[in-house]
Amino acid sequence: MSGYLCSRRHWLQSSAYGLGSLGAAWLLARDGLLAGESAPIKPVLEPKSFDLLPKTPPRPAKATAMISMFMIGGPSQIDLFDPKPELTKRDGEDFVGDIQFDNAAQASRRIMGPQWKFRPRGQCGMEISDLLPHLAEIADDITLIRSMHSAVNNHLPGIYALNTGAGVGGRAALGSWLLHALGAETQDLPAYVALIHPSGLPLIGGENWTSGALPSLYQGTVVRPKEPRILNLDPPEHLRGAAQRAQLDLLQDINRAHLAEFPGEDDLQARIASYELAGRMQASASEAFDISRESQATLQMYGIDRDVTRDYGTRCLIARRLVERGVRYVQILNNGQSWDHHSSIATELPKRCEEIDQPAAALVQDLKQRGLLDSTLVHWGGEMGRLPTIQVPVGEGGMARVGRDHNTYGFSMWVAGGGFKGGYVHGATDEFSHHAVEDVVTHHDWLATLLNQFGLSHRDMKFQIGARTVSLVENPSANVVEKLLA
Amino acid sequence: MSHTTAQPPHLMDAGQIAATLPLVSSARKRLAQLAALRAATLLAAALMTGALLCPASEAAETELTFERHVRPILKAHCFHCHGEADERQGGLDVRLVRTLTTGGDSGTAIDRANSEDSLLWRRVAADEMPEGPKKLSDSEKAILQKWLALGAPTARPEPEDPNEVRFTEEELEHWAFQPLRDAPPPRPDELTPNSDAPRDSDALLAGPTAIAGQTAIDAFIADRLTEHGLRFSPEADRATLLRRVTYDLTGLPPTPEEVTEFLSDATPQAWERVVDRLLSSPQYGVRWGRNWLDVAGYAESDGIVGKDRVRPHAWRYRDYVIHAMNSDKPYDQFLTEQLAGDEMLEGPRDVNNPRHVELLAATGFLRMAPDTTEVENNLNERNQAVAETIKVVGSAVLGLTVGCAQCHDHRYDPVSIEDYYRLRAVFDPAFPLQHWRRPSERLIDLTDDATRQEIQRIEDEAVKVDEEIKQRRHDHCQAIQDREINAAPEEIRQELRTAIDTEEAKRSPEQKALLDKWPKVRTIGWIIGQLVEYDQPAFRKFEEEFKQVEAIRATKPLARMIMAVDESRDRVPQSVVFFRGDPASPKHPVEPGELPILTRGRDASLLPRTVSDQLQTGETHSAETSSGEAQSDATPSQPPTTGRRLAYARQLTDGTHPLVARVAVNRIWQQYFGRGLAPNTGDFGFAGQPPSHPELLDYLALDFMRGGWKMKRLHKQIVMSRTYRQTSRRDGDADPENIWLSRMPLRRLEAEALRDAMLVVSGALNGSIDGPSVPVGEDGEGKTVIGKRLLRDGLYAGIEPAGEQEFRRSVYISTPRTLALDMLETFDLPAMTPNCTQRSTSTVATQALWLMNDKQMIALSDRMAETVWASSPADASARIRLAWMRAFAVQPSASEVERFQQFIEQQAERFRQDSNAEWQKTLAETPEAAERRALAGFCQVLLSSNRMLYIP
Repeated sequence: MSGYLCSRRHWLQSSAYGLGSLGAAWLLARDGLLAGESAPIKPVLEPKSFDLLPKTPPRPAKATAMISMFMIGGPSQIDLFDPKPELTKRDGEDFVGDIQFDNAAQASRRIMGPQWKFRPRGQCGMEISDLLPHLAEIADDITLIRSMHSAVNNHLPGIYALNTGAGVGGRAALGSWLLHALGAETQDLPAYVALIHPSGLPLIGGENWTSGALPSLYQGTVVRPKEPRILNLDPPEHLRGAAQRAQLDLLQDINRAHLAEFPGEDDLQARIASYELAGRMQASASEAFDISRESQATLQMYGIDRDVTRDYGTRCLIARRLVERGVRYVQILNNGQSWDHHSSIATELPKRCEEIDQPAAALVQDLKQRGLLDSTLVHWGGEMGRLPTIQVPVGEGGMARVGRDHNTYGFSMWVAGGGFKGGYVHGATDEFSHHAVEDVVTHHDWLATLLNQFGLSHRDMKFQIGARTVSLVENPSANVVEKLLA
Repeated sequence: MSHTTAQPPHLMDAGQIAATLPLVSSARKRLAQLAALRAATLLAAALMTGALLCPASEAAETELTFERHVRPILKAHCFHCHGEADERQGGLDVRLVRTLTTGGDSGTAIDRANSEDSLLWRRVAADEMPEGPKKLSDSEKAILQKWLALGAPTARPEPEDPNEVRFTEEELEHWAFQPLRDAPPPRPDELTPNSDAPRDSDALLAGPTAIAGQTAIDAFIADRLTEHGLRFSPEADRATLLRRVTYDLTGLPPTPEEVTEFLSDATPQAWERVVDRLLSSPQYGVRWGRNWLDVAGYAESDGIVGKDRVRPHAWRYRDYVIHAMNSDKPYDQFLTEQLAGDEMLEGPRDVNNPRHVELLAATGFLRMAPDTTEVENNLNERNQAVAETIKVVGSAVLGLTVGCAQCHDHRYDPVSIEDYYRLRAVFDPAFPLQHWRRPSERLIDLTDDATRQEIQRIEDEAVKVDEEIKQRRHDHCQAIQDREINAAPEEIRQELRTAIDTEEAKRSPEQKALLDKWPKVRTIGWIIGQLVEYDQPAFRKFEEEFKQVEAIRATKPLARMIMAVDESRDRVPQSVVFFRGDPASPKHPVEPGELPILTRGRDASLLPRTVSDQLQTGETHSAETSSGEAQSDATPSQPPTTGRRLAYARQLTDGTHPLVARVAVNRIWQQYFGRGLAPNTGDFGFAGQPPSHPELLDYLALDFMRGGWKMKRLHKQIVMSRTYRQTSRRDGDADPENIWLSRMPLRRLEAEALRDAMLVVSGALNGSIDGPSVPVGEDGEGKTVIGKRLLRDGLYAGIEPAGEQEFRRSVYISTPRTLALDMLETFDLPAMTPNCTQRSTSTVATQALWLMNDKQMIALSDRMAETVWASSPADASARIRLAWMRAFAVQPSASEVERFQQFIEQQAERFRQDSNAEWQKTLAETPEAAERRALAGFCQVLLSSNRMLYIP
C-alpha cells in the first residue's frame, strides 16, 4: 500500500471501521440498508473533554499496565514453542492434506520438523526449544498459548488484527483504548509509549500507535531509538524554573481562550494537554529514560553489557522503568518485519532469538522480583506463525535457503503476569502445527481477555463519534478466555 | 449492460450513462477472465462490517440481492470449502444461487417455500457452519435470513460456469472506473437550504467580501447539506479569511500591511484581488509544489538504511515542479513532461536549449523512488526500484494501489497481475533490468556551453592564481635553502648545493654524509612541506593566499547535473510477467498498455512496442539472461526511444480517462478541506471510501479539463466559493466529521508551513527560491539541524552554520530520507516510502518540548523580539500589538494588551533577579535587556500557541 508510513489520521478519523468497511457502510447507506442513517443525531454541541487522569475500571482489575513485545513478521512457533514429534518423524516427507500456503510460487509440501530441540522446562514441564534458553528459565511464570488463530493473512492486516481488533487500517490500537478507558497513573510521562528499533520503523510505521478514531490525546508517543530518547527536555538556562512556568501559564491562558472560540475541537484540547505533559516531562523524563541509574547486575541481567542484546535489553529495561512510573502501555517493536522468515530460517531465526531472548526473560524476572509482575501484563508474540512445510526461495541455491511461509491458522504467543496463569500451556494445534484445534484463541478473544484483565469489558468499551459507535472488539463471538486466567 | 436494481436514483444515472457507452464485448470477456476471485475480499469484509451497522430488520426488503449482499458473506466464510477448492465439501458449491439450489450431497441448500427450513440457513443459524471458531455475525445471519425469506433473489441471470465470475459486475461497476458524469450543478431554486437563515444570504450578498453569489461548488455542497438537514455556516470574518487564504495559497501568513490593506478595501472585488495577488506570488509555487513533491515522493537520498546516499542533484526536479506551478503549467502537460519529457525532445538533446533542460528535469519524477542499487546492485534491488516507481505512478496519477498486483492479482481491485506488468511495460524501456545503471551513473550533464566556458574560465583563473602563489612560495623556500647553505662554511657550500640538488637515490655516500652533517639543508620540496617549521609566519601567509584560489573556484556556476530518464532504444527489454513478482521467474510476455479496467469505453489501442519479430513469435526468455533483452528494431530514422511513455501520457490526458482528472482535483480539494471528496486520495479502488460528493468530483474534474487543466483556475474556484469562506466554528454535533462541509475544518499547519510561518513572523525569512538545498546534519546532541556536519579526524567537530540560508523556506532544506530536519520531523513530515498522498498530523508532547526548549525556537523568538522592538523602541504596548498582529493577523483586545504588558513586566523583573554574572554584566550595559528577554519570551508564547499552529 502506497504511503502508509505517511499515515493518514484525517481520513482515518473519519473511518472508524477502517479502509473498506466504511466504503461498505456507504454502499449500504445508499441502498437504504444502513440503520445509522436514521439514528438520532444530537442537536447541540456538547462540551467534549478528554484527559489522561486515572480512571477506575468498572470491575476490579488484575492488570494495571502492559508491556507488549510485538514480533512483527511472525516467529516460527514450530521452532520455538510448539513441539510436534510427528513433524520430526516425518521430516522430509510430503505433507498430506490441505495446507494454507500464502506464497504458492515457492510452496512445497515437504515437511520440515523443528530444527532445534525441545525440552521440558521448569516445574511445569512446558516444552520450549533450545533457541530460547532464557525463556526456558521462566517457564513457570508464563502462559504459553499454542492455539492462536486469526486467519487474517499477511502482515499488515495481521498487525491490525492483533493490535486494533480487525484486519483493516485506521482503527485505534489497544494502547489508545486503554488510555481512553483508564487514563494513566502518571501525568508526567507519555502514558502510551512505542519503543522502536534503531534500524528503522516497524512495518506500517506510525499506524502501529495510532489512536484511529479516538481523540488524538490517546495516540502513542514514539521514543527515539537512540540517546537522547527524548529531545529538548532541558529548557535554556535563562528560562529554567519560574520563568518558563510563567510563559507556559500565559500560553495556556491564550490557548484556552482560543479553545473557547472553537469548542469541540479535540485537537486543541490535546495540544493544551501536551504542553502540560511536556512541562512535567522536563522534570521526570530524563530520569525515567536514564538506565545508567540501574545497577550493574540489572544491566547484565538484561544483556546490556553485550552487543547482541544491548539494544533490546535497553528497551526492555526502559519499558520496566516506564511501567514503574505509571505508564499504562508500552510496546516494543522490531524493525520492518524482521521475524518473517520465508528463507534462511536456519541462520536468521537464531539471530533474532539471540537478540531478544535474554532481555525478554529478564524483563519478566525483573518485574517479578520487584513485585510488579502481578499488575503488569507482559506479552510476547507476533501477528502470525509459520507453516510446517518448507518454502523454497526462487533463484540460486533455493534449497539451501529454505524458510517457512505464513501461518495464521495456528500460532503461539506467551504472556506473563497481569493475572494470567504461570507455568500453563493453553490449547493445541493439530499434529502438524498448522491449525489450532483445541481451545482456539482468536485475536478477538485475545483482546477481550486483555481488556478483562484491566477490569474492562470488550462489549461495553465503546466510543461515540457523532452517530457512530466504535469499539476495539467488534466480533460478537469474542469471549474472554477464562482458562488462561489464574 | 445490466446494473443492479439496488441503486438509488443518483447512482442510477451513472449506471445509465455507463450503459450507453459502447462496451467492447471482447474486452468485457477478457476482463472477466483476468483475475482470481479473491480480488474482492475487501468488499466482503467491508460488507460484513457494514452489516454490523445494519440490522436486517431495517433493510429495505426489495433491495437485497445475492450478488451485492449475500455473495460477499459467503465468499468470506464459505467459498474456500464450498466453491474454490477442486473437491467441494459435501459436493456443495455456494458460489451461485443456482448451484445452491441444486445443492450437494445433502440435497438443496435453499428452500424457497419455507426459507427457515433451508439447509443453508439451518446449518448457519446453528453455528454448525462454517466450521472452526469464526462464525457468521448476527447481522450477517440476519441478512442471509432475510434474503432467503425474499426468495433468494439475484440481480441478474447467473452464468453457466461459476468460475467465469472472476470479477463481478459490482466490481467492474465500481464508481471510480466509470466515465466522468457530465451533470450541471443543482439548480439554485432547488437549493433553499436555509430559508430560515437570512443571515447567511445577507452575509453572502451584502457582506463586504461578497462575490457573485454561490458558485457551482456551493450548489453541489448545498445540495448535500439540504439532504442531511444541514446548512452553510456563516462566512468567517475577514481577518480569518485573509489568513486562511494566504496560508492556503502560499504557505505563509499575511503581513500586517496585507491585513490592513484587505480590511480597508470595501469594494466587492477585494477578495478576488487578494486571491489573484496570492496566485501570482512566486510563493504559491513553493506551497503547491511541495504538495506535488509529496505525491512524487521527493527526497534527497536513495533511501538506504544505515548508509543512505545523498542525491545532491535532486533539487533540479524540485525547481522544475515549483516553476511549473508558478507558470501554471497545465496539468496534462505537467504530467506528460514528467512521464515522458525525454520523449518530447525535438531534435537531438541540446544542452543550450532551456526547453530540453526543462523536459529532462521533469523526468526526475521517475527517478524519485527509493533505489538501493548504488550499494546492492542486484536483480532484486533493481526490480524493487522499478516496483517503487510504479507505486508512485499508480498512487500519484491513477490514484490506485497498483503495486498490490505485483505478485498476485490485486486483492481488492479488478487489476490482475498481467495488467500490472502491462502497465509496467510502458516503463520497462526506461528501467532495463539487465542494462541497469546505478543512480550515480545515470546523471546527465546538461551544463550549457556558456556555463561550461564560464566554469573553465574560472578554473583557468584559479589555476593562474594558484601557480603564481606557488611560484612565490617556491621562491621563498629557495631563499630559505640558500640561507641554510650559506650557514655552512664557504668552502663546502658548492658541495652542499650539488649534493642537495642530486636526486636522493643517486647521491654518493660522501654526499649523504655531508647532508647528514647539515640536516637543515633540504630540498625545496621538503622545505615547502615543512614550511611551518622553517618559517611559520610565511606558512600562514601562503595558507591565507591559497584560500583565494578556493574562493575563486567557489564562484563557479554549478554544472547542471540532472536526474533524468534516459531511455535507449537499443536496450528495450522484453516485458514479461514476473511470477509471484520475482524478477528471476519471468513468465509470459506482455504488451505495454493501460490497466484494462481503465480503458473500458475508451480508445484502448495498444501502445507502441519495440519487440523483435523473433520475440513476437512467442519465444519466451529468461530475464536472467541478456537474451531477455530484445534486439532493437530501431533504424537511424527512428526516434531514440520507444515512445511508450509519451503515448501513455497522451492516453492519460486525452480527456476520457476515468481517474487522472478526478485524482488531481481531489488531491487539491483535500488540501483545503482536510479530506478529499473521495477521502482516500491515493486509493480510488475498493479499499478507498467512495466520494461524499461524487457529482461535484466529476463536475470539477470535467471542468478542470475543459478549462485547460489549469490548476490556478481550480484554486480560484475553490477559494472563491462560499463553502471555502465559511467559518470553522462548529455549530452542533450534526456533522461531527464535517463530511458534508457545513463549516471549514480547523487545520493544523503542516510541518513546513509552521516553520515557514515562524520565519515570517519572526522576520527571519529568506524568501529566495531555486537552487541547491541547504544542507542538514546531525549535531552533537543527536538532533538533525540546518548546516553541514563537520568532521575532524573522523570525529564530530560541530555544525557549519548556513548563514542566511538557514532561514530559507522548508522546501529548500535538504531532505534525505533518513535525516529529516528535527523540527520538521517532529511536526509530522511524511516519510517518503515511496511517496505520500495524504499527510497526517499528530499532537504529542515532543512537539511541545520543541516549542518550549529547542535552540532554534529560542533563536527565532529572540529574532522576533528584535524585529518588534526595532519597530517601536519606545512603546511597549505597540510592540505587543505588532507581535500579535504579525503572528495572528488580528489586533489583540485592549484587555489582552494590558495582560501581556503585565506579563512582560513581571518576567523582566524576574530576569533582573537572575544572578548569572555574565547576564548581570549585560544588564549593566543595556538595562532594557531584561525587557527584551521578556518580550522574546512573549514572542515564543505566541509562536507556540494554538492560534499560531491552527488555521481556522
